Amino acid sequence: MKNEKLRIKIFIVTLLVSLSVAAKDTVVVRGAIQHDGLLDWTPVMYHSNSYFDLGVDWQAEKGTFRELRADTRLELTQWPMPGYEKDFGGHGIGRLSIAAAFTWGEITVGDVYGQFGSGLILNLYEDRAMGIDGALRGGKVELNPYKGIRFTALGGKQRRYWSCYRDKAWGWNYSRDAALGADLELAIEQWSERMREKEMGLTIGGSWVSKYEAFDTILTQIGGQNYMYNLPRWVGAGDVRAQLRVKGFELLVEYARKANDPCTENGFDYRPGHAYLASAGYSRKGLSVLLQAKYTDNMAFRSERQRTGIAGRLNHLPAFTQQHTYALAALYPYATNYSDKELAVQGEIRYTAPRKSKMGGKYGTTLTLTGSHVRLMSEETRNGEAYTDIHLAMHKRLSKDWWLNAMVMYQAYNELFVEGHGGMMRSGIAVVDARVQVNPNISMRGELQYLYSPHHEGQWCFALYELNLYQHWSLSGQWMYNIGYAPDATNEHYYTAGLTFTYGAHRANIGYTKTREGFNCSGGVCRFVPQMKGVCASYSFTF
Amino acid sequence: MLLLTLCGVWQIQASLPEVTLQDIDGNSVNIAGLGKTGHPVILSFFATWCKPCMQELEAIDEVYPEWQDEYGVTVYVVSTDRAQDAHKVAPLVRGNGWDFRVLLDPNGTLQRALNVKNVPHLFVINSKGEIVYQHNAYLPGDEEKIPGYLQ
Repeated sequence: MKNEKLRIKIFIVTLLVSLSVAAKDTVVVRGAIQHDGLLDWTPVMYHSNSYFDLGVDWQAEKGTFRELRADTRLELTQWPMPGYEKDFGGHGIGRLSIAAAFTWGEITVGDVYGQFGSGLILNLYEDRAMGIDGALRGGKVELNPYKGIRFTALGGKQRRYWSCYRDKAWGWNYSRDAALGADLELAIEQWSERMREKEMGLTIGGSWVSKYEAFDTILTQIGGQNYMYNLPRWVGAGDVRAQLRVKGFELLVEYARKANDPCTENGFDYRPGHAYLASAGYSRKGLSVLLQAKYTDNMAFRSERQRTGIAGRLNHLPAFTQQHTYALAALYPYATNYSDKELAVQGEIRYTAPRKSKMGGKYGTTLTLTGSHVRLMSEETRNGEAYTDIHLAMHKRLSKDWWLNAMVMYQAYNELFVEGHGGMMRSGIAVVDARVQVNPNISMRGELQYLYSPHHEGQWCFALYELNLYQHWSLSGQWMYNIGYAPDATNEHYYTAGLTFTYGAHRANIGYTKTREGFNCSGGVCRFVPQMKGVCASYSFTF
Repeated sequence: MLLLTLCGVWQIQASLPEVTLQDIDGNSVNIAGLGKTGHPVILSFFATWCKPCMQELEAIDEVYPEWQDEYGVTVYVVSTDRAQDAHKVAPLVRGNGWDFRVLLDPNGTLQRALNVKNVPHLFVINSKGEIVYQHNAYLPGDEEKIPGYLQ
């Protein structure tokens, strides 16, 4: 009996000592809930996209080890919101990963994301509003063995909605398709005291990505005869880049090449793909100038050769144009043509006149001039103008309580090149956006927008009113109308009214909406919304 | 007694993750290290196309010198712009005359680690490195809640 009590005491003391050694460890539980829903009554149906993210971090300083992170995400999108592709609907575990962080780098097993350089050959990301999740299920290693050296290697099977779960291998089956890649970046100024003294930075980098896909029997007819495509199982792509920074000046040049990659998106074209990117800019406090140019030819790079649509891209070429969020300015957005020959340039000048200057007034004024121009240069498109916009905006605080934004814009949009039908549409757009702080607890915002065009759907107008109360409540209403006077005028009304409540990391919204697809900025956030009609509700919380 | 000991050893608290990002000058910044400086930190996630983000950053910019003097706080703005759009960040921040430290998160690494889904999203980290406040979205006057968490 005496021995038994002694053994118990020794066990408890040993346990307490062991636990107290771990006294510096920290466990952090993180997560998020996101729900967007629409009650449609033609027919009666509740559409919703719900996501539950959960992560556990164990942080400890043991030698070079720093943190272990486990993340998972439950997705419930069986009856999704309107505007998503057919395969998007489903439910299950959308993300699973464990990462170990050390002083020299990080190792991740499970779903990995990443971008090499400017994303010309690899950009794996999640964008819930667009229904994109391009993660690879496999692994990633990031090494920082010495200052100025960053190395990343990753590989796996790309997620394309729920297809990777169909063979019941939980997405770990690589026999059908897989992708792998590596990237090395050297920050030369980290090795040169002289460069750092002169505020110079030089980064050079190189990447390689290779994708594998099992052979498919795909036939084509030439002269009445059937022929089978000789499809490559491995397709590689490489990227090199250099970025120079000297005080406020910055210059980036980047080149990417993709090997023969015949696929549905490029019409089984066997030519290699190329991309050139150059960016030059100068910025200091109150002034910035930026000029960028890009040329891409046949740079569609997917993990599945027969896939089209949104899912399955290994790289990402966003539209090389200004991203507008005012409703009428964003009515006709340009989308990159991945398989054509596309030349795009864009530039921006931003100047903030200081406070108490003649131009700035008492509180300062910011003027922004941007422009972008895109041409398609294949045999079919023949160096045709695809998109142009020139935009001049002013932001000014008029007084202690009044703020004003004003914008005028010219836009040319080639509906035939972008959507496959129609013709060139030219328009002029004007926007006035004013905000007033009535008292410390009440503010109001109003927007008026007008678009003039003799083409396509013709003239549009837009109005928005937002009332913000006590930093928690926001009541908003907006209305958009196709005035018309053009061949394709619809004379449709679009409207949204909603109430938003925010409290810390909670945000809840309820309202009624009839919208076109596009950007919606109200209740304190900007989000891309699909075309929809009905009672909408959303909730988000992060902890 | 064992349970009390366990509660004291394993501390459930919100702290910054072990993630490294680059700033617009190419320097590496360890995010977990920001919580170990002994001074409060504000992390504000934004995108170059996000109007409410610009409103929030402009509002913070107005009071930033006062907050720096009184609380010793540093504001880090984290850009969520991806791919080629990341090159627009430095011109936008400097052109607007803001003095914030600018970090680039084109891979979404820090966004995923902190579960940032929409922008703007702001975190306040106290001088002990604990996340003591966060808000998603921006309504005018939101910046006035922040000083209470910086002390």
